[in-house]
Amino acid sequence: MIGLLLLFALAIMIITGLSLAAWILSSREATYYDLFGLGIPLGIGWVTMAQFLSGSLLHGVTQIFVVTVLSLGVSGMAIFQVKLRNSGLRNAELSPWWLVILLLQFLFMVWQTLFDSMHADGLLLWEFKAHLAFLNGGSIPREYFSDPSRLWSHQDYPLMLPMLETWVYQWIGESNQTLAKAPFPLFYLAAAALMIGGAQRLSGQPWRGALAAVLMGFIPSLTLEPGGAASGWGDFPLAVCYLGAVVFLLHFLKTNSCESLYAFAGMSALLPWVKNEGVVLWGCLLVVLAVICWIHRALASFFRAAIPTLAVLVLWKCFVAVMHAPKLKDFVPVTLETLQANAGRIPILALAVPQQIIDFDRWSLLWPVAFVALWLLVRRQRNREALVFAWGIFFPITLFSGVYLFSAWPDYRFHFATSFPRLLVDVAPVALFLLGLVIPRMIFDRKHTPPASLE
Amino acid sequence: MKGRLLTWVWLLLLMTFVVIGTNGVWKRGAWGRWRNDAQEAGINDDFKWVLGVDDGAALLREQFKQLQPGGAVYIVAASGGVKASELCFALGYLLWPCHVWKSELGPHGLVPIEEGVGGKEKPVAIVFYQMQIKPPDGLQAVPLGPEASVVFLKNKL
Repeated sequence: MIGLLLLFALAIMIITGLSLAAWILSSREATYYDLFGLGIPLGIGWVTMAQFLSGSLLHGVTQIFVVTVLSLGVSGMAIFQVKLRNSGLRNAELSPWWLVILLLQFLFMVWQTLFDSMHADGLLLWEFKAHLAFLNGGSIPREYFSDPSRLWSHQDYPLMLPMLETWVYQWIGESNQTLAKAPFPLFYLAAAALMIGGAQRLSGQPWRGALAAVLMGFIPSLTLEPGGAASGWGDFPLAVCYLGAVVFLLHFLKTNSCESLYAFAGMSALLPWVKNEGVVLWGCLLVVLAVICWIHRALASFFRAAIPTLAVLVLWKCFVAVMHAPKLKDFVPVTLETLQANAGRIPILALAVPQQIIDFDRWSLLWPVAFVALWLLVRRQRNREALVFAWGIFFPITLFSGVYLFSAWPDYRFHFATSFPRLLVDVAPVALFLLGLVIPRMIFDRKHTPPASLE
Repeated sequence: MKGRLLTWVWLLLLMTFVVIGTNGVWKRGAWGRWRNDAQEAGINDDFKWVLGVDDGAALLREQFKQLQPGGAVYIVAASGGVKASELCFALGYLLWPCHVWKSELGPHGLVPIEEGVGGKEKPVAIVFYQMQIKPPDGLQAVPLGPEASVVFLKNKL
């Protein structure tokens, strides 16, 4: 019975997400891979936001009933719009062998996700809040947010994952740390779909994305390490949303299509709802979009893309302020004086970053190969695609490594060692996607390399 | 000729990628028992590490079930190190809505480690992490595992 209820909980999120994605994806270019890649995160985002917003008014069965009706109602409206528009999705031509390998990898991830426990962050930062919300009828008790004795649980962290786990608990009627992780393999599925759909959109060859998706299964940090897809932590879901935002931004810059702009806006809006670092990632992409929209005098597009994320961000920050949620002081204020005082850390961090990046045991060959691919791409193809990849990978890594100059931990090296590898997870699927796009180009298209040009 | 060589280099790189990755995934796989009984599996794992017993969460729930909700629990650790922090997190998880503070036993009583964020409430229980720390005279400690014991303060039970 619990299994059936769990399936209902997952199905409602997936149906809602796929309907919303079908509504957004209006062009003939869109494939079923885009539908799943965009739809799964959107569905999870929609349901968790509805859970959060309804939590102060509704409780228990009433709450899940209302959220379910609301979600299915939105799905109905979206499907009606799609029918009116009469625009169909098409299938990307991909050898069934790729799909068989990807399916086996996905099943392996499901098995590992349910097999392994949540470990520290999964339990103490995310599941703890879901546990409290479940005990409180679906919303986290107000007094939790201002409880100074629970500062360690980061009361100011956004609630997508806790609300996702609460959704599962409310449907199955118990708090169960195994089944709370059941939705997480969906993010893995979404990442693979985004890579294949993105490769189809950008190169017309979906197998390039399939190659990247298959390689993802061979990177421990993205799969089984803490922060990976099977861990139930926030890093991998954030990475999937970032990958989606990058893929649709690249396509928007290539084709100027409204569909990709809205898909970018949808994926970006999820970034600050998953983790606080999402704001940094959103900021990185927003800079690129702002510059290009400014050059082309397309500021309306810029605002259309930015407003959904801004709305989510403002909503969450207002909530945190109203609740008087204390903030764990992991970092000192960013000032010139602090920078001068901590300048001695620069050479140590400059050595520590490459050490993490060439940790083959965690990353296999991802980073060295991705940097070579990026260098080749930038050298041969000085266009917007190269700019977005270079900026979208390098800038967050630079920011994330620089932030430890302001670490408030007594041992900033320990702070770096425990958190930096997970920050790399945020960017890794984009690096993998780049690798999938560029390596086949280097192998098969050498004779047809376009001349270097700056669009 | 150069092109073919480059193709082989790339293919070799991809194969190396897969081989190294498989080794990493194999080492990290959860190949142990199936966790269909994993209620609070993480908490139990933490407590196994901290307390040295398999079912730490159940043990603590059993010990603390008479505790008044909303009271303050103080964890006393000699070093205030990582394990004491883990115990603080795990108790904070298990004993909601009690407040759980990490503290030290000074000459004049309990001293909270996290200065300025609380720890001024009257305790309902004191958990002594590391058995070499003895509770003050007149208080009876209940062992929680090989590593820790707890004193329930009678006036609050």
